[in-house]
Amino acid sequence: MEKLLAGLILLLFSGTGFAQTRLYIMQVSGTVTGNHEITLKKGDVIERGDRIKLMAGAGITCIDNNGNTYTINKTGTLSYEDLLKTKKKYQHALTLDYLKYLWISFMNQAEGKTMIAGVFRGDHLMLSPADSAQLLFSDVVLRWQSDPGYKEYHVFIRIPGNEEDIKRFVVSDTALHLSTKLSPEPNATYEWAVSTQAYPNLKNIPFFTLYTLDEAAFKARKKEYNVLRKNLKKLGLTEAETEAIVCGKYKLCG
Amino acid sequence: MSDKGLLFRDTILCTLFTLIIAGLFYFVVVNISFLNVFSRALGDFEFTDIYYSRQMGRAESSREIILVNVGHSDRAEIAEAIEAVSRQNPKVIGLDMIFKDLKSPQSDSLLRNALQKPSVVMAYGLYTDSLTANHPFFTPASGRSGFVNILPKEDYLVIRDFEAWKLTAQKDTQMSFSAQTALLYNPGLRKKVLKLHASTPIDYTGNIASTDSPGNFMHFDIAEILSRETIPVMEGAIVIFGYLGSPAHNPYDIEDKHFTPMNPVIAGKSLPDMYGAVIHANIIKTIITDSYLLKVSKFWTFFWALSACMISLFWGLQFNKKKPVLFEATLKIIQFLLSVAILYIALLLLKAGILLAISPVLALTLLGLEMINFFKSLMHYLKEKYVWKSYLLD
Repeated sequence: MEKLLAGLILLLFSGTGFAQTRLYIMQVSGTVTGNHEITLKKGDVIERGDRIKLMAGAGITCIDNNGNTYTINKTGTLSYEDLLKTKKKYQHALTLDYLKYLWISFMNQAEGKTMIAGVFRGDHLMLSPADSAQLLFSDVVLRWQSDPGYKEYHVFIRIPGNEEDIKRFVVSDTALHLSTKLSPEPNATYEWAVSTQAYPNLKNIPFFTLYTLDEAAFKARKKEYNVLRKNLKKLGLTEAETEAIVCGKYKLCG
Repeated sequence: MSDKGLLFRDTILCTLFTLIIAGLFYFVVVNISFLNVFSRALGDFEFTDIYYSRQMGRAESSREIILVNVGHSDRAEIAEAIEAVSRQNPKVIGLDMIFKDLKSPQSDSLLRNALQKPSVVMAYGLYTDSLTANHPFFTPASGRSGFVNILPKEDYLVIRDFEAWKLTAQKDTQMSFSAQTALLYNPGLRKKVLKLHASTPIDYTGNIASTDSPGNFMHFDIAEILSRETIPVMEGAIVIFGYLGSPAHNPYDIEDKHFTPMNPVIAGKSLPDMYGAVIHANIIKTIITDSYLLKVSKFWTFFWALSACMISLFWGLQFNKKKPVLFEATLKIIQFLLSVAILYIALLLLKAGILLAISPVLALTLLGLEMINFFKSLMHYLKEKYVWKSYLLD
């Protein structure tokens, strides 16, 4: 009887001990925010009591201490407990996997990729900021046109002169606020490109250059076009149209 | 001799006949130069690779091992990243790279300072009579470093095994980078690691994240690390700095990329599939999770191959005698079903942690059945020439 009681107590405690009290973010696509609207990034932790918010097109994969993964790709707000319910169940059904493999091999159903012996040149998806635009460093939003048939876009950012160090971000939207992925520095130069391919030949796709300005420099540059803005306004153009002209023609955006 | 006695004798003779033919095939394929392409293509082939290639095993993700892609960062950036990572309190920081020479006093000094953390493990290359080590200026404070050699030595072959330690010509025990890292993470594993055989199978659990899958090992770029104040997942983990492509996981970047059983293409031409640092991560995972595979020795593999061959012949000879037409008509189907069954057994064994090289078992069994008709002709010939009795003819 004592043994049974001890066993039950042990079982109860071990159950509590093994319950996951924190999850670590393994992969994020799109924008996912945590408590206090803080954008969550790979390697961050989600603890009991936390709530996360997935924006449109966002997805998140978490991992616990035992190597179990939790994946969700649904817009909305989730509690920690909701996230625990998304635990991925690995089907270690060897027999089933083996039979599936045999069937595919036997029926010659292995999926072959379409191969093209050529390279793509010239096309680009980037919309704004225009090539060689100047922007406030903390407010860089990259926008590109959508390509039907593609759900994810690959944004490449590099610093001129250091072409080998390229950062790639997978985005399931057609816009990216740069500061959610890296910390743009003021008075720096970046090059960016967008592709539907994860690994395009980067020597073959065009890159747009953008210059980041600190607040003082940005304000000073903006002042330079105050007269132009006033004149355009008098001509009946809206503020958005005026900004579009300043951005497109004079490369000062934002 | 009774009918049963003749059957046993013919089974043994037919097995010997199969062994001779198999030996001849092997000799011809391996030694004749124009057939060498087959030995190169098939010599490295293992049926059990399907287990990893099709992810039939434990495809669990790893929280305790995290990778950092150094890309083409310079020493100052790497030093800064090591400092940033060490602020996250990882248990071990492994550097799968060798700083052979001094470059510039400023960046070298920064790197040297960063390496003075007690949790740093460094790498070196061990050759038969020499080693390619880090410049003495970069000796880590922990004094821990390990060789990063991998098995086999040819770069076109699949990496299935690892050496935890080596005995040098001077009888020194040199630990591998993976073993050193695992031991710093959990010193209690030392006894077990020292007992490992010269070549121990790697129980692969996964690769790094790619566009197709979230991967099993989390990885960061240096820029990501430098832009973050805190990365909570690194606390108490093993963080390995290594080259993971530019950009990470670029399939066309093959620097320090190798073939493993996880390659989706198990035979024929393909691109290498795993970076060296990820292979080390898999080895470390094998060590720290104590998930060693029991590798069946060559003797026992041959024993099982011979046994399977004899059993199939014992049955095949009877079938051939009783229903020769049906035997001829269904031989290929029987061979197919038999190979499916044998491979299934091998996969079940692998799932149970036993690695049996199934190719010899499969080859001898199938060849044995194929040899029955030749053996029958041989028996005819012997019967005509000498006084000879055979189960198949009498």
